[in-house]
Amino acid sequence: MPNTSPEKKRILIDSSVIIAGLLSPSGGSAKVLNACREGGVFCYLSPAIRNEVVRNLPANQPSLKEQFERYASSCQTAEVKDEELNEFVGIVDEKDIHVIIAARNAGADVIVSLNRKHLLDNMRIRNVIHVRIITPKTLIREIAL
Amino acid sequence: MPTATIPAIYTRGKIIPAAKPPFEEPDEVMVTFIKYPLTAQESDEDPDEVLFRKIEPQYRAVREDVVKEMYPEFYAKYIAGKKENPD
Repeated sequence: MPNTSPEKKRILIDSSVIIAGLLSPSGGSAKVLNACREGGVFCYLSPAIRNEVVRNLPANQPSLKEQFERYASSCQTAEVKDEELNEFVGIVDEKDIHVIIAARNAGADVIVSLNRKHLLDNMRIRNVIHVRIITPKTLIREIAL
Repeated sequence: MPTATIPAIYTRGKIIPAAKPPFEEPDEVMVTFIKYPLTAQESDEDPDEVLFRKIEPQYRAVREDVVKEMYPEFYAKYIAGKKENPD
């Protein structure tokens, strides 16, 4: 279990939030990234999520990648093994299972995502894992960022 | 007094009828400009969610590529197989 203090939330940030935060510096996602960098919350990323972010950033804006690297250096890593993914087949879209497993392996309190269709509005996930999935806007409201 | 309303397009200061006028030589033509209010969804929606929806198709394709490369056994078993046999 990672080193954490009880008063800070442990959050796994989905790549959707990181990408939005980098592309739109005045939005709620950017605010969440800043909170991670400043140590207001404990942030976790998985290698797959890092990979997704890098591939989604526009190639003609290398400064975004640099910003992401600075942000990522303040996050801890949550590993996910291939064989662990089988567990949530039929509950979560297969392409999103790695996010759920990463959150569980990190001991995260919440997953922050903008993916309404596959994660935020998936009620079945709540029955199998005690990690809440919320938007950046909700996180900001809850912890008064 | 017969009147009729037809749709029109307003562009670059010109009004262009979008249907055939019912009278060949009307005595008078009135123009009504309408501005619809924003829907609740458009005005209240989180801009980050709007941004995400714009990039979502590419984002999903990238997510699939990453799963294929990083979790090849899982991909072969559950995603590639599903594509071949969608039922």
